Amino acid sequence: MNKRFALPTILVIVSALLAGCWDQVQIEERGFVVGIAIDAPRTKEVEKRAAKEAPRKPKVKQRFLVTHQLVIPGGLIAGSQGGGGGQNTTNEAFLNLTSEGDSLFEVSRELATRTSRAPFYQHLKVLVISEEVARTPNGFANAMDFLLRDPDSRRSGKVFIANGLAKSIIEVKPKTEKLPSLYINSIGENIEKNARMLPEVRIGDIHEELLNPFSFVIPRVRAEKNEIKMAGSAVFSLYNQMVGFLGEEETEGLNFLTGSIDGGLLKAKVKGDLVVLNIQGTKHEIVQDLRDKQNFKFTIKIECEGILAEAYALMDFLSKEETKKLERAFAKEIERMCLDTLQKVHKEMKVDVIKLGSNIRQKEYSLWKQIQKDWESGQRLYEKSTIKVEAKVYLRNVGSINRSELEEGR
Amino acid sequence: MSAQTLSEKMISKNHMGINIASVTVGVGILTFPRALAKATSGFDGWISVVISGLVALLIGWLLAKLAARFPRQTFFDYTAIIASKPVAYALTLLVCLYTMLFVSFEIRAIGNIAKQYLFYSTPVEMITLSFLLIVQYAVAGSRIAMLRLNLLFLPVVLVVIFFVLVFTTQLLEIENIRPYFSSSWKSLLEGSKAVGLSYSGFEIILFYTMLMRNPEEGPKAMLLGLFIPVSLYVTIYIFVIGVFSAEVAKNLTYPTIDLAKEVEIPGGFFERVESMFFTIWIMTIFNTCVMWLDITILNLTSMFRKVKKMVWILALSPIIYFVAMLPQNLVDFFAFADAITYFGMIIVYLCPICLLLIAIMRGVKGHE
Repeated sequence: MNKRFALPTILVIVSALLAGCWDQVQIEERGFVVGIAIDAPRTKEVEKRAAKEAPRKPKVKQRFLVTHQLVIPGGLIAGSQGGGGGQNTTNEAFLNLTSEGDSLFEVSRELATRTSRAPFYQHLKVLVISEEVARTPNGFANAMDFLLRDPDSRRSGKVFIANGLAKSIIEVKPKTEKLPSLYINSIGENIEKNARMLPEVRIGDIHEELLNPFSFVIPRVRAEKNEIKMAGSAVFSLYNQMVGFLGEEETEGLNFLTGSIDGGLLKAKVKGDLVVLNIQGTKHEIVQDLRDKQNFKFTIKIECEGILAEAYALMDFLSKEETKKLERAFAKEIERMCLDTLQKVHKEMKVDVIKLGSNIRQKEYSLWKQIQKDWESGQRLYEKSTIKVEAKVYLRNVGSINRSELEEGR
Repeated sequence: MSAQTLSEKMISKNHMGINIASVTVGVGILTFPRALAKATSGFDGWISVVISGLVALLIGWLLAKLAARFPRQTFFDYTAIIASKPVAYALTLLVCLYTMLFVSFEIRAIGNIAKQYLFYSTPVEMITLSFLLIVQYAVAGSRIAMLRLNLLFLPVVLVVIFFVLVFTTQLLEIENIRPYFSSSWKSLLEGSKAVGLSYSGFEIILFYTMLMRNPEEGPKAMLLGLFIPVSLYVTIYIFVIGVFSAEVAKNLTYPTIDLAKEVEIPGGFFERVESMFFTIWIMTIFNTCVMWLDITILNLTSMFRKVKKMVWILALSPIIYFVAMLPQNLVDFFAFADAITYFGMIIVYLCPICLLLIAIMRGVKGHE
C-alpha cells in the first residue's frame, strides 16, 4: 500500500521541480552588447523632463549619455539581402541605442523598455568614453564603476578615450567589418605594426590604475567618415581625471620611454636624406640614483633593434662605418622623440606616466613608503627629478639590396 | 551500522590524503586572496600561505597521532576512554554542531555564488535546497563509496585549475609582483591568520582514521593532504597578484572567480572559461559538504547507536537548511564563516590536542 502511493507522489513532486527554470533566456532574446560609448549629455532637456516628473527626486552632479551597440545576428550573415532578411531591413549587423541617465545601470535597464533583446554584457569588446566625461572630476571613475561591479560583465573589454563625441566612434560604418566595435577592437591589436598606438588598455587594467596612486594613459580614438583613427593617448592625473592628450609623436616617445614597443618604424636623416628603420624589438631599463631626495636622477636606457626598411640616402649600407653612422642617427632620433615627450609630460603636464614612481616602488620599497605622498603631489619630488635618456640602435640587416641608385645617377 | 562499513574495503594512506585535500579546498579558495592581499599588501602573502600551512600541518599531525592511538574506534569512543563519558558526550555534540554549521555554510556559499554569477533570478533558497538534496543523497549511501568520489573529482579539479592558470600567464605583469620580501613579520602573521581560515577541514582525520587500513599512517596522509592545498593556494595567490596587483585583489569580492573570468583563449571560439571553473568549484564544494554531513552523522550514530542513519539525515537537513538561510547578506555571511572557524579552532583543534596530552600522560591506548 505504502509503496504504491510513494512512487507517484515522488514523480509528481519531481516533475513540478523540473518544470520551472527561473533563468531561462533564449539565445534569440539576448542583446549581445559589443560596444558602449559614454558621453556627457548635449542638452538639458531630458534632465528637465525627469525633474518635472519627479521634482523631489534627489539630484546628482553628473549625467551620462550612453550608447549601447547591440549585435543583430541576422545582419552578420553575408549576402542575406531581401527575402529571408526578416525584420532587418537595412541589413546592418548592429543597432545603436542611446539613452540618458545619471547611472549606467539605469540606462542599461531602460534599454529593456526599448528593445526586444535585453542587454547582455558578457561579450563586451569596446568601451569608448568621451573626453568631456573623462575631464570632469571623478567622471571617469564613476563611468567605470558599473562595468567593474556587474558580475555579468567581464574585465577584458578594451577602453578608449574619444577625441570628441564617443558616440560617433561606434557609429562609423567601416568597409571591412560588419560591426564597428569589432573593427575598433581589431585596430587595437595592430600595435606591433605601429609604434604610435598605445598598447591596449583593458577594463581590468583601468581598475588597477584607478586604485593605484599613479598617473596613466589610455589610447585615444578619433572618428572620421568611414573609419576611425587610433593614435595618440589621453593622459590622466593620479586623481583619475583626464588632464590632456598626447599627440602621435609624443605617444611614440612615451612608448619608447615605457618600453612598450613591439614594432613600428623610425625615421631619421642621414646626409640630408631620409632613412627608415623597421623596428623589431626594444629593450628598456631604468637606472635610478635616489641619493638626493630633492633631485632624484633617472636614466632611461633604450636599446632598439631593427632592419632597414627604406633609404633615400646614398651610402654603402654594408660598410661598418656607415652602419655605425646610421645607428647613431636613429639613436639620436629616439632620444629627440623621448625628450619631446618628457618636455610635455614631465615639465608641462607634470604627470608620471613613465611610471618612474612604480619603478621606485618595485626596487626601493622602503624609500617608496616614505615618499609615496610626496611623489606627484605634496612635495612634488617627481617634478624635481632629472630624467635622462640614452638610446642605442642595432641595425641588424639592410634588406634585400644594398643600393637602389648610384650616386652618379643623381 | 559501523560494522557494516568496516567490513568493506578500508581506505589507504593516499586516499586519506586526497580526502583531506578535498575537504580543505572549498569556499576559502575563492576569497582567501582578498583577505591575504589586505593583510600583507603584496606578493609576500605566499609566505603567509606557507606559514599557516605549516601550522595546519603541525596541528594536523597531532590530531592524526591522537586518532592513530585508537585504531578502529570512533571519536566518541576514544574521547570516552580518555576523559570519561559525560565529557565525550558534550564534546562530540559540540563537534556535531560545528560540522553541521559547516554544511550550512557550504550550501549557502553555493547558493550565494551561483546566484551572483549563474542564476540571476532563481531564488537563493531554491539553489541551496537542490544542492542540499544532492548532498543528502550522497551521504545516504555507503561511506567508502562516497569517499571514493574524492579520488574521482580531485584530479579533474586540479587539471581544470591548472588549465585556467596556464591561460592567464599572458596577463601576468612583473611590476605587480614586485617588490619581494617587503612585508613586516607582523603583517605576514596577520596574513597567515587570514589564510588559516581556508585550511579548516583537515580535522576530518579525527573521524576517518577509523576507516584507514593502517591508522599509524595518518600523519603521512596529513602531509599529502595539506601539501595539495598549500601548493594550490600559493600558485593561485601568485597568479592573482600577478594578474590583478595587490590593490585590485583587495577590492575584488571573489578574486579567484575573476581570475577565471580574465582567461581569454586565443581564437575567440570559447570565451567563457569561468563556466568550466564554476563546474569544478561546485564539485569541490560538493565533496567538502558531503564529508561534513557524513561526519555529523558518523558522530551522532556513534553516540546513539539505536537511531538509524537515514533518520539523522532527514532530521538534520531542515535544521541545516534553516541555519543556512539565516545570514541576510554577504557581510553577515562572511562573519558567519569566521565565527564557525573560530568555534572550530577550540572544538576540533584545541580540545583534541588536550585529549592527546592527557592520553600520553595517562598512557591510555586503544586496543587493536
